[in-house]
Amino acid sequence: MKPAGLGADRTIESLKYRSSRPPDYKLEAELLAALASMLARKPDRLAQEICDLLVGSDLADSAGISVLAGSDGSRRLREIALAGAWHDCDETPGFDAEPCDRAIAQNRPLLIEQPPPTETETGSGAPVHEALLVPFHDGADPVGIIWLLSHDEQREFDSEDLRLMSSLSGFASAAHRLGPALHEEQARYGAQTIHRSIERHQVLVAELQHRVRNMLSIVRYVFSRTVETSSDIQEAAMHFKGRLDALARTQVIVAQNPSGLVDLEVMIRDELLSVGQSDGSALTIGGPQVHIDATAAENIGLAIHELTMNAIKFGAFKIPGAALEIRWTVNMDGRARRILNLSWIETGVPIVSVVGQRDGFGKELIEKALPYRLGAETRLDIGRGGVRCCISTPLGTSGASAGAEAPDA
Amino acid sequence: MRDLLKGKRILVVEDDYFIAADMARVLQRDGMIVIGPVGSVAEANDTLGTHAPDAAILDIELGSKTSYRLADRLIGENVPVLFVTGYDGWHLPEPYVSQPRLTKPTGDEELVSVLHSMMKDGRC
Repeated sequence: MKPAGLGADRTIESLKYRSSRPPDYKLEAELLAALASMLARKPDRLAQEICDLLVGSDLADSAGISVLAGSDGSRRLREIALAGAWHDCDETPGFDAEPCDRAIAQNRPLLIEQPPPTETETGSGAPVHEALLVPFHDGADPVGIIWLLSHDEQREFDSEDLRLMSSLSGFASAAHRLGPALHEEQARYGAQTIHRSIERHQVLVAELQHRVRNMLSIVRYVFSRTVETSSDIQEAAMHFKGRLDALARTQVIVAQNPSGLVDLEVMIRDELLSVGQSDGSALTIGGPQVHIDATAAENIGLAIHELTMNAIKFGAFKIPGAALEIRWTVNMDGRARRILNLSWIETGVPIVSVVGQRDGFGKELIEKALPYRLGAETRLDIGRGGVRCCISTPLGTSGASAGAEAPDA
Repeated sequence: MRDLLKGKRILVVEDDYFIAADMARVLQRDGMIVIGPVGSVAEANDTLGTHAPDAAILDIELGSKTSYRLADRLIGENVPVLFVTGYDGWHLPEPYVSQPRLTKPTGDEELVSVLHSMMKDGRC
């Protein structure tokens, strides 16, 4: 049909121009876990298991593994595993030929459309539509190929296939290296290690996904509230950007700390620095070192942002001679819970009727969101002298890191 | 299609204020009565003492707890339950795999139309 394309190598780069399905981390983790368990139980069956899984997961119509055999000179490829349509053919056609040699010689994956006809062309009816060949290595040297075949025009390989193959190729290397003479104990130990790391990886991916989704939901709400309460699009855009930046700053601090805890003072100073405010005659920041979890940080960080923006527009950062004092303490309450008491006290600001009513979002956040999410008690007073806000919140009871002890308090 | 949902009492259990408030806003906009929102299983159980919902929307992860026990109770009382989660479906334990669920962030229309089909089928 396409004589010009017959057997032509498509450089693997051409995958970039193909639309690809999204990465399937779940499938990847399942495949890795299945292989790890096979490595522990029947290491000699590992290569076959890889091929069976690839076909079983519908990643290919046929799959095989060929390895370099024979010492130095000959370097012949030998097929050590095969599954799928070709496996079911009466006469195994084999795929050790030329394309594998090329992939090994070039030491990189190859995508081939309609490779040169093999014996099957007249045979049992599984002609190749496409082949994806991925080399695997022992040290730096390519020692074999995992190959995937499509016998159907409906199946075209994409970047996700390549990604999955690259992820699994470590097991092909293991199968090759360990060979039949594998010490069982050693394999089991190796497999357990892999298992643990896969599990950790799985948990991390799930947690990350969870956090991202929650964050998107929060952004979504902040956006609709901001639009609802702003008088025009410029104002909405400005407020929304400010809030998004505040959330982003908190995320940066959370990400920097492997425990997921945030140093309250660092967070507050970051927020104030973002609008050019630091300690001076008009600003005092102080309290013991205390760490809060990511959920508390997101919520309190946003509250500090709202108070800061209000102070710039109407309060202590606007009025000459006015001052702001941010202080916190940590106490035990009657139920032996550690409570953070955070206060934001402005002085020297004459009463301005609109103070604290920038658009109602800050008020809602402090008076409703913090009590709801953190179990905090809050007070927001706007009176003579400026804004006074007090937040009392239990430490270590919200969000994913509930129960985690803050290291330094 | 919205008429079926008008006046229906929907329990919302979600520990994040923003997400809870957003859902409540959407439900109220379409004429439903929101019970809650509440942020914990304990509060939800308290609420159920005085309110009988027509359906419930449950976040699966509530702080360090899950809402499965609460779901069991509601399903036992023939209250249709919609799970909302930040995790993928494969995270759900076996008995709940076929339960209606949405992943966050949920779209307004998506939320309402899933509720609608649940109420129509009387699914729980």
